[in-house]
Amino acid sequence: MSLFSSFAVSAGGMDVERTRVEIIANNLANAQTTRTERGGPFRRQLLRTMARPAGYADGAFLGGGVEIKGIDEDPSPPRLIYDPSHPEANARGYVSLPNVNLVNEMVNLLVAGRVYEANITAFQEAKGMALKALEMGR
Amino acid sequence: MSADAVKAAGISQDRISTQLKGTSETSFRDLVKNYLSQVNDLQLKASGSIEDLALGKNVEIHQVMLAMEEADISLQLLLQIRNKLVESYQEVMRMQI
Repeated sequence: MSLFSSFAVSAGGMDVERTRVEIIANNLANAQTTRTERGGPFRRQLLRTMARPAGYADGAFLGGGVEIKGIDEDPSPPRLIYDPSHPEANARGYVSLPNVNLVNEMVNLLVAGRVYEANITAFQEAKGMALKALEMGR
Repeated sequence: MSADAVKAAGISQDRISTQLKGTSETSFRDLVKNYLSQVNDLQLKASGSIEDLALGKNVEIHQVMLAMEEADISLQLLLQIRNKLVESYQEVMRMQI
C-alpha cells in the first residue's frame, strides 16, 4: 500500500534524525575528553546517511527513504592548548583536546530537530489526505 | 441479459446462477475475512509496540505512533467498507418484489 510506504519513509527520516541527535549529544558530552580507549583525545563523530534507491513499480512511485550507512570520525586535527599542569600534557606542555566545535554542534542539533519536525509534518499531511479520502464515502 | 438470450447462447440458467452463487459467495467472504485479519494484524502490531515502549525496550516513540496511525487508518477504512455493506444490504431489503 503506497500510503503506508510514505509513512515508512517519514518514519525512516525520523529514525535518522534521532540517531543524529544521539551522536551530537555524544560529541557534546565528550567535548573535553582528552583520553579514549584507543589513546589520544576524543574525535568528533559524524553520521553518514544514504538515500535508498527509489523507483516506479506497477505505475506507483516507491520512495526509498533514507538509511544510516555508518558513523565516521572527523579527521581534522585536535585542538592544541598550552597547559603544562594538565596530566595529559605532552613533553612541550600542550594538551590535545577533541576537535569538537560547540557552535557547529549546536547548529547541527537545531537542524536535526527541524528536519525531524519536517518529517512529522509530511507524515501528518499523508495521514490527513488518507482521512480526507475516507470522507468521500460519507 | 434476457432469458431468451441465455437460452440462445446454449447455457442453462441453473448453471449460471450456481456459478455466480458459488464464486461470488466464497470470494466475497474471503475478501472481508482477509481485510479483517489485515486490520487485526495492524492493531496487534500497534498494541505490541505500545507494550514494548511501556516495558522500556529500545523502541522509538515515532515508530509506536506510526504503528498506531496505521492501525487507526486501516480501521477507519474497514468501518467505511462496513457502512457501505450495511447500507447496500438495507437497500436490498427495502426493495419491493
